[in-house]
Amino acid sequence: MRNLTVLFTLTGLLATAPAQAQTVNWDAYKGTTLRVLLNQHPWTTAVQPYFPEFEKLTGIKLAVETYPEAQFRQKVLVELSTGGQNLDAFMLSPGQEGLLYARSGWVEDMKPYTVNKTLTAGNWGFSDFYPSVVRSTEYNGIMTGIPIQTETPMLFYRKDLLAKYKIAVPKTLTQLEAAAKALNGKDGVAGIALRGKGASATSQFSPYMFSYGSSWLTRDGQANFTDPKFIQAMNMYTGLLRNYGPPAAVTMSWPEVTNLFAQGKVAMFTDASLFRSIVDDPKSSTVAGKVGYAPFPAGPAGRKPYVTTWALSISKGSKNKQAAWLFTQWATNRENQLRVLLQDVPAVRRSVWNDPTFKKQETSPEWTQAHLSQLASANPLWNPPVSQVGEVRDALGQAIVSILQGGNTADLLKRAEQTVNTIISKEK
Amino acid sequence: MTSAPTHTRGQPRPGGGFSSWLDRNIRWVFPLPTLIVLFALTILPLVFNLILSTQERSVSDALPSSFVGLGNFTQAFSDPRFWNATWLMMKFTLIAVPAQMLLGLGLAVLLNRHMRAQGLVRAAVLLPMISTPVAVALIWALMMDPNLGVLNYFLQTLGLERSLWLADPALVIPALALVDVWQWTPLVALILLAGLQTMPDDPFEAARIDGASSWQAFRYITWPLLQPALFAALTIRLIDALKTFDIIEVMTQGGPGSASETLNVYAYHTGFEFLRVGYTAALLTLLLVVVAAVAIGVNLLRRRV
Repeated sequence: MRNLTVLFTLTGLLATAPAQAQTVNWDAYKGTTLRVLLNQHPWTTAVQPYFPEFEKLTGIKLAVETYPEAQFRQKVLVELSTGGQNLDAFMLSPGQEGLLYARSGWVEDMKPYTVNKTLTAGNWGFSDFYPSVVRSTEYNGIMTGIPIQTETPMLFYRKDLLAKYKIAVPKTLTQLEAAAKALNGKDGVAGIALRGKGASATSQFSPYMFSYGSSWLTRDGQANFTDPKFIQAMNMYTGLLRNYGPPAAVTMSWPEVTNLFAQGKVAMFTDASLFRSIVDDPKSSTVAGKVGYAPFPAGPAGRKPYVTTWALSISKGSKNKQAAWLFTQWATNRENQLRVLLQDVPAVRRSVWNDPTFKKQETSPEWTQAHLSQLASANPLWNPPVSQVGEVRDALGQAIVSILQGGNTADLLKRAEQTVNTIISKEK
Repeated sequence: MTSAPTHTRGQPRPGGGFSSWLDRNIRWVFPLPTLIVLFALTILPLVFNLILSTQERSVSDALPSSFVGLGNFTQAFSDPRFWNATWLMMKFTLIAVPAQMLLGLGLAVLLNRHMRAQGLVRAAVLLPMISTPVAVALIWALMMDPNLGVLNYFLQTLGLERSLWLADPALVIPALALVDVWQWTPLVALILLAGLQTMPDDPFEAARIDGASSWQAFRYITWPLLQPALFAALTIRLIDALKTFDIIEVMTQGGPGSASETLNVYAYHTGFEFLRVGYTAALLTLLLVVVAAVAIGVNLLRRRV
């Protein structure tokens, strides 16, 4: 029996040996310990259980720390700004921190690694990644990380309620408004929920802004908040929330929005595709199985979604960059990408969406369709392209809260524009 | 004097080198480790903070940095958000601390009576104080949720209007103060109870013989004797309330808008979200000045009373 096992193992080795021997020596950094900082994110939940496989393959030990998002971002920032010598690999959200980290010289440029013949396996297949997702990691000429998951905005709706009140799935923002109006108050639900909590609302406002044909900045890099199209988009966003939204919208970010939907208190919401993993999971949602998905509704300028990405990055100060690359490479291989997709986390590799295992368990082809159809045309600027993203989001967020509390849109946006222009002028 | 000095305790041994030096300087040597730790953990950061507050600095070298002297302070004085934050800090403290003192006093007087299951009751009363503030804040945030929270359910059952709680800019500070009162009243009660229990029996006995009512006994004996404990509790709670951070950051992050952004929370945002560490250092220096002024003020008041 034992001989048989050995024989099988040997055959297995022989079959895979040629492909790997030509390319990468996985145990070249045996004995290294990598310090890895991760965000408590569905991606982490899906992949972390398999980390021992990597440790076995490479002989590299992983010292992993995970934190909730706010603490996680702060921890990484503090470590990188003080040199980042003790940090090897970490999760990065390029649309939020990419520009600052690239300009500060805190992250490795990943491009050379992806084409390095001795460090990168030939079958890793970088061309398998969606180009728009890869582009969303590039700031200041640097590829700040290798994407691990991606999100596009989506319309989440209650199939049962739309059917009951004979409302068609909204395809445009005008139809969305009409549907929110028709559903508001029916069966004890609010018509629609959106983020209203200051800075957190700005990213989910961005597809409304794009769909009205506006942008964060003008051509000469100034804040564009007084653009009439920007004001119209803001009136649409805040109007939906004020007229057909739940009470207390000004305190709601994604945890509150998804929770309210999962508790059956709201008929629709627009937010990131990733949140299917919350609202359609029988463990966390009372409306699981009744959730419908549609691409983000089109505005006067057409259908203009954003794309956000989480990536794995390597600290510039790390003393184990090659080993950290092996980890990044392993974590983004096909097998692991399939694993995250099977947990409803949108994968970044084309091939896994066509994998038979995924096809077999796929419960909502419309989610897949909505997400994938948006990727090609998606805009990576879900945040303003400035280094001081946090401060700029806060300035616009303050305006959003005041508008939701009844303030004048044009006046408040004008004031926010002045604040933001002061911030931008200091960056140069 | 030719005779050899008589040797007494505390005087240096003749020719003892290091040990005689040690004997002479023992009052400096013993506290030295504490002084070193204090210096490293309190004085140095304070000095560093003061230096930082004179600079326009970001955490990233990619953003400009320069010496601005008192520029950060003049900027703070013309920053409406700074004044808003200072006012909210005061408002929070002025609501929370008097309520804690009053309730704490009442609770201490109650607990001082002899009752059945005394130990159990006292332990139960102290529970809020020993819970982790972040956990307390999360639970209160859930209870105050306007859509799903249990507090609105109670209000509705009682036939009252539902409240927006933390989402209402006018209500958010009182609501946060309520949580602070819930958590810290037991501390006040504990300090005052200790004050009550160390009181001598004789004056009360004398008062009883003289026919004083229980209110008179409280007003003319308990109250004056309780002053030291009252001032201790007041000082501790004032300082703590002024620099409250955890429950506010967990429950509202300063929102809605900046309706609950106290000075400490604002400084946290300018530091960790806006990355402006120079300005943050100036804000925190101002916070330190306010807290120190209040502490000194209470101390002066106490001497007068």
